[in-house]
Amino acid sequence: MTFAIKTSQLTRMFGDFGAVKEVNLTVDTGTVYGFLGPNGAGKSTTIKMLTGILAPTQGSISVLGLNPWKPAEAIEIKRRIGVVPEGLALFENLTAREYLTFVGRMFLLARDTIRQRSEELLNVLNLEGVDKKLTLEYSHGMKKKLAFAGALLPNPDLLFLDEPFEGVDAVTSRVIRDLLTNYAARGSTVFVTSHVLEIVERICTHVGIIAKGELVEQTSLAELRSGSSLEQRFLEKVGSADAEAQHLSWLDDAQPTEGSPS
Amino acid sequence: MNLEHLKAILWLRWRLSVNQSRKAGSFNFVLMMILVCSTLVLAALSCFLAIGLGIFLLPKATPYTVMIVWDVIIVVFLFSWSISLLIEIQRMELLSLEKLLHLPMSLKDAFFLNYLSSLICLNIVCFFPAAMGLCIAMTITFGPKMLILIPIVLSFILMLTAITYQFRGWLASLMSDKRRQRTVMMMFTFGFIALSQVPNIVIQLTLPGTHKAEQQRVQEQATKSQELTDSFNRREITKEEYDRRLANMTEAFKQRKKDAEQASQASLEKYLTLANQILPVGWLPYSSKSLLSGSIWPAALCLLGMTIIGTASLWRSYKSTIDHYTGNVKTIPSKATASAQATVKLEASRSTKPSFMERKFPWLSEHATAIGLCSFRNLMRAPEAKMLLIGPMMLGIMFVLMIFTNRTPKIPSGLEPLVWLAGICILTFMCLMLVLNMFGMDRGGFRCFILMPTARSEVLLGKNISMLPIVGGIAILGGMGLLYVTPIGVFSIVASSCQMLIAFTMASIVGNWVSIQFPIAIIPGSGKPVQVNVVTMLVQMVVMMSCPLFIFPGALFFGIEWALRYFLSIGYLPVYAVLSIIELWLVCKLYLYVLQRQGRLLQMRETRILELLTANSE
Repeated sequence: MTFAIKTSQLTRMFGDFGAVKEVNLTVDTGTVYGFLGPNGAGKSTTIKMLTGILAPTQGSISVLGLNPWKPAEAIEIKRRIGVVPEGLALFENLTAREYLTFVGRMFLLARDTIRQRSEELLNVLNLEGVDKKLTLEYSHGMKKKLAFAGALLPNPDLLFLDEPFEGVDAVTSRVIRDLLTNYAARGSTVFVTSHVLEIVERICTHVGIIAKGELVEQTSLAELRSGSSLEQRFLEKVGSADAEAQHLSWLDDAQPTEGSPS
Repeated sequence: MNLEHLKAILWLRWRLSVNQSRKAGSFNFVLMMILVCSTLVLAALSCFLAIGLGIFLLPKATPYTVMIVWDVIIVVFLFSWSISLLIEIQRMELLSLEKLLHLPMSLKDAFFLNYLSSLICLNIVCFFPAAMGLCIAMTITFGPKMLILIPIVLSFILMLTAITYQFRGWLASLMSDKRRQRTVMMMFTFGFIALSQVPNIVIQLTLPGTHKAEQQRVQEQATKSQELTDSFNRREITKEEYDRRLANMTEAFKQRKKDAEQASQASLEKYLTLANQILPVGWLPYSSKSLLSGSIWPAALCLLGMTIIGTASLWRSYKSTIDHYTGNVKTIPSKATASAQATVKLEASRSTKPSFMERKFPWLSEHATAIGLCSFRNLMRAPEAKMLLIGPMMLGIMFVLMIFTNRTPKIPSGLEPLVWLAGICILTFMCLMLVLNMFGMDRGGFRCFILMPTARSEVLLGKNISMLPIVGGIAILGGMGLLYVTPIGVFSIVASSCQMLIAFTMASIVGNWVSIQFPIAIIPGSGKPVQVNVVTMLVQMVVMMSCPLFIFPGALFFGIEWALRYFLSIGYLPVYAVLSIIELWLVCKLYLYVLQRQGRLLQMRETRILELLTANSE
């Protein structure tokens, strides 16, 4: 088995705050790797470092056997990966088709190939009816879908998806899930972060859990949830399983108090 | 609706304004606080000041002068009112009624509370006491009939605020479409700038006439004086006769001048009074004039008129708000819908003809072409870029006016190419505004450049190429104008074109460096920088001020040609053109040499640039 992604002691500090601390990730080729963690755990920071958007403070990274922080190798990696970053990478004054044409040209695809793939992607992701709108007019979900289309267009070997299902409707969510499953089945790799554990359970083969910047678990999904649900194991790993149910004083009373609608 | 609601909404508006200022940095916040405090002190003082000055100065004033005093107050108030409206439009959160609708109050209550709270602003806080002070002073000075001015002032405020509120409501409904929102903001800014240029345009159009008449009078006087002096020199008249005639002539000249000034004054008075009669914003000053002239009816009609306009505007605004929230509204088809209807037509043509984004340039790499086309399209649709081009447009309008009113200065023969060089310098200065912050308007889109598998020098090349059609377009229009005013020969045109390209290439070299080292994030749709530190501001200023250096060698080459022609009588050598071509070749070589290094610099700094561009806007 070869590694699609491998990091060693990967660390990123923001002043005194360690967003990612000595993370050793190993993602095998041909797997769908779910990177889980609560809000602010360091998922997006990790993905940014892996894709060359944010420089690590220390540690090493290998993506498809190359180092994204070596200028000579960075371009080769970018040629072979597709990314849906956290803040997306869209130009607000371009239409969907114009954006996909731009991405296609940057990956040196032939004009007919760009047209055909754009057509299919817009159709499959239900963006065809709105492809004349500028992306600034899109809803958040539509922007996510377009960014996903842009990542898939060059037919990459490795996909990095930061919260791809956030704000996306159920139908499209299903389409994306199917696309990712088929994509991985042919031997490509997907590195995906998500808050939706149900989706992770359905598409991922391997899981990594990060909490407070530290990688607390990294294993196959089957192994992780043996004898328990993924949610339970996730809560155990991030240290919230034994948290008591929270109370609000004015909601516990049987009788309405001041400020209640009469 | 109750007082607590009103207090809460007033507090909300205050907090929104304070937080907005805080976001712009501590310096801005302190500045805003100083402004607020000084305005409040000024407001308190202005009432007493207006009463005091009014009592001392108004008794001697004519009705026309009193009207002018009110006009000045109204113009200053309207100017500051427009500025605050412009700022408020950029902060859409202050306009939105939707944010109040989930609260326990009716739509009617929300509407009126929002309107009432909009009355508490610095402009009105300053204007109202001053206007009231003047009314009191006029009542003390001219008698109790002047008390009618108090309801007139109130009706003026009602009219202005109601119209503005209706206008804002209309803008808010227009701006619900994001694409239209930015166009509205751009058009509003343009309208404001154009409006503030109206006095300048009026002066440009009217001054030549009065100036010409004045010149003619002086010319006549000079001729007559010369004739008189000649007669005296020829001894046709005695010294006494000469002195007498000269004194008479001077007296007549002074009288003519005085008559002309009086005629001009009378004409100005007539037009100003007419403007005050026609424009509703002038009804308050006109009322004061008519009251002082002893006529009460025009003032009563103005009061009625302003009250009707104010009430009707408020009612219309209320109705349209109700219609908007109850869904009883005709929607304006957006540009997107209209273009979607044309999609079928486009689909048919798409299979054969390459679209704009698919175009290729044989002399440019695929990456640079794609980035150039993408950036150009992005730029052309960005209202921020259009706002930056408003300056050159206004300058162009003034230039055309100067041409048509024959006020362009005479240029000494042979020095015309220098005027062209000055034009190039102005154009470079304008394009620098876009070039010095190339990535500012990309915001999140810059992330796309980082993720693309291309050399960073290609990104810079594409970005520079995307500016060329804009700069080239303005240069061609400017060149045509200059050709009309100061025609030059073919060699000079060649040399000037070379100098234009040199200036643009040099601007690109400097612009690339500044864009990489000192990027500034721009707030979407407003052209307003997010946060600029002092060093960035200084660098931008120094680079802009030093743009004449780009054309300095050109001026030197022209100087050589001129010296050869005038000192050695060698006029057949096109030195300026030849040396400009050589300089262009050298500058292009320099650009290509520097581009590779700047590409590497961009690669080193790209994550930092992304951080700066997206930190506050995402």
